[in-house]
Amino acid sequence: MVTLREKQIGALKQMLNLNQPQTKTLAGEPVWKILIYDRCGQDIISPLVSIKELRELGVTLHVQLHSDRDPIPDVPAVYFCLPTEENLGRIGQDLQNNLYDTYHLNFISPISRQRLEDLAAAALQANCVSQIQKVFDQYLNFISLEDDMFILKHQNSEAISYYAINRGEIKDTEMETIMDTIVDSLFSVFATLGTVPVIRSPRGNAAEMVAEKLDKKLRENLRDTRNSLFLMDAASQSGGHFNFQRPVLIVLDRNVDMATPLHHTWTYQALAHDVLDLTLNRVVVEENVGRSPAGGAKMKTRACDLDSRDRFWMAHKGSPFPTVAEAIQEELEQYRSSEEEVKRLKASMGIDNESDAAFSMVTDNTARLTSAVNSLPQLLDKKRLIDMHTTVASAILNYIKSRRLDTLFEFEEKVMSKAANLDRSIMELLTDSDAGNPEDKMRLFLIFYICSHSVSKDELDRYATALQNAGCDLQPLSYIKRWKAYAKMAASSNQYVGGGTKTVGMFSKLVSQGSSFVMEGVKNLVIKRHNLPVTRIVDEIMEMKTSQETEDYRYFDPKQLRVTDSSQIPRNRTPFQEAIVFMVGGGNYIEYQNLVDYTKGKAGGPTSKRVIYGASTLNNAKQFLQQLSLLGQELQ
Amino acid sequence: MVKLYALNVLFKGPNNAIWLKSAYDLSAYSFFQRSSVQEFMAFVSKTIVERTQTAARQSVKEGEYMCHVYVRGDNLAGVLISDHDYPHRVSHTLITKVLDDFALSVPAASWPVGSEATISFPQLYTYLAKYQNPREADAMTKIQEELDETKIILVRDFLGVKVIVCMS
Repeated sequence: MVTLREKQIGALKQMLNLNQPQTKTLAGEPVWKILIYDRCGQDIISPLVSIKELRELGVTLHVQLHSDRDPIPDVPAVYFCLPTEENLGRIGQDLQNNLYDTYHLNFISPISRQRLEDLAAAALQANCVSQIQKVFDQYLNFISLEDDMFILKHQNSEAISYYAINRGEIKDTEMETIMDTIVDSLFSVFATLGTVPVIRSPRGNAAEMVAEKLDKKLRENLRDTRNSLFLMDAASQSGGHFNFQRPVLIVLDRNVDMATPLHHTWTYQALAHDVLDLTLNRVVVEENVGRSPAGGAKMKTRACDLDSRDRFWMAHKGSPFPTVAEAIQEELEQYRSSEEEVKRLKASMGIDNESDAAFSMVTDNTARLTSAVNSLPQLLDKKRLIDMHTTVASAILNYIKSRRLDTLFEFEEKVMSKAANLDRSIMELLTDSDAGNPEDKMRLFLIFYICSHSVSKDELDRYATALQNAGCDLQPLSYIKRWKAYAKMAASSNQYVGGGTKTVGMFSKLVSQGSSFVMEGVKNLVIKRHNLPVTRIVDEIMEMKTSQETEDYRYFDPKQLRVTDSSQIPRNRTPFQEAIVFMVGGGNYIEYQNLVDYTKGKAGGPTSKRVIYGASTLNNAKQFLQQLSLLGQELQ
Repeated sequence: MVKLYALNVLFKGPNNAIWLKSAYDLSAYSFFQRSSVQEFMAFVSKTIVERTQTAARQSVKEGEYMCHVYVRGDNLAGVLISDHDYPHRVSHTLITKVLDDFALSVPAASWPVGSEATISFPQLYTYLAKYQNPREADAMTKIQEELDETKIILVRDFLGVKVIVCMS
């Protein structure tokens, strides 16, 4: 099963191979070329193709479109950008200045006819029409972060953020533009996947609008026989695998669950995103590299790539943090024992070399030496990984300890699961100066407020005072108040079922062996298996369960000739095996991890599921809180 | 911050309230909330007219909003939905004014059987927009009061001279 990410990589590699079919044979040197991208193109390429791989594909130089570039004759140039006026203007200039030999123009989303004609006119003027080799519509307007996760935008994400969609004083035309941007990217996703999904969405919010527009767009494209992207070509299916089942696309609005984006997290990847600002699969950590001459600690920043090439990361990105710490420790021990063996081998080889008599032993040792030498690069790589993860995990651990994130996490889990006994009241935590910075406290309180049924005005005022004393900005609270009132009015209900934590006994292994991870005082919390609202909705729709919440969801099938009426949803269908969940208004790693856990729970057997998680942008709690604050300010 | 959200004119029939005309300004709300909020406000307006007696005024707090309603003696009713900070006096002045204007433009016979489609009263939107700033209304009220006062004095003083000065 080729994943979305792999398909996107395939498309990019083909593009970089100048759109010639890739041959398996190593045909000598690749054609040397230049890659030119805009900011959107950069965001798409950077998590997928490393610089080393770019070199292997023959890209000697990669530059931003809007930078000063010198002419480089006799070299083909591959452009990968959005077809905006600005970009096309710059391309026109490049043509005018005759910078390169041949031009391969790849537009991330389709270029309109008008702009294509303008470009042709510019080329004609510059007298270099013959140099434009190819113009391609790539339909790659999304960013794949994982095999089963994608987002739409990273840079310029404010245009389609939660704030942009939910603010007041917005004109119809502005909303149309935002929706069109989102739909265009979603269309690219399905064009790349090559399937036409069935679409489900709730009513009365941004998700519905996105679903309607996407349905319309897919429908138009299917009817356009000349140009359809979805002709299921049997020959192109990998290994003759036929997929009779269509996936379901579930479009959801952020407002269905406002507590999860603010939640304090406990799994490795989500923590990296929350405290270290993991962006496009990369974190920047500060590490202590010794003492500076002035006597203070010298800090160096280090960029770490956390992606699918990292075996440890792939195994543990969803694990709770204590498990990660233990695993790093284990890896370190394994590495040390391998290193010991190599050293022993080296020592014994040294002895053997001196005596010529032990001829037979040499062959034996040669074999062992060969295997050791072969494993050396692996060992070195392993060491590098362990080092990197140690740095990252230590940075995270520092934050956990200084802000008591473990206590906050435990409390929030209890609140979200409506556990009857909260052993510490929220007031205690709010006034405890140790427990988190003002933002943490605000997050904690907002989750409490969102999840509790009703909070009396007096109580609310008391909490507000406590928050203010702790130095919090109260604007997000005014927005959430309004949101809650609206939610009550629109009669929706949020339920967090299950959840909670149980404290496993302190793991002695780490502490006794004096590891670098001193996790004393940090609770070893294990998350009980539970479903966040998004996962619950996905489960209900995929399994065709009827529930109060999803009963009213709209149903779109672009393949049907007539627009389907929601009341005629075919009921006699088999459950969906594949789903794509798209969150309008910003997603996060917590929801992603929850969906991954859900899929793992269903793995194997006839009910195995594949779920891809997508979001318009990715927000960690800090960024989301900022947006809420802006929205709250507007209400004043 | 003072804000007006809705200005509605209804007719209080014997059993229920009949919609005559409505005007909304929901730009402060997020795009997708607007239709639900409008429905909610319409529902609240209708209910409150049905629950208010003829020739009575009320100001009711409903969640985040303040509903001001005035049902005239002839059962023509006006509802104004604003936020909590909007001055009550100005709202009721506005409702009275709007209903007077409405009664002049639309004949009374069409009230019991009218509906949004059949009745034309574009001034409703202008009123809603103008009175977003209550100070504007206040100024007018002040001038109106001064005018009334002056009128009384003049009439009293010149009664003997049988000259009535009209100032409008």
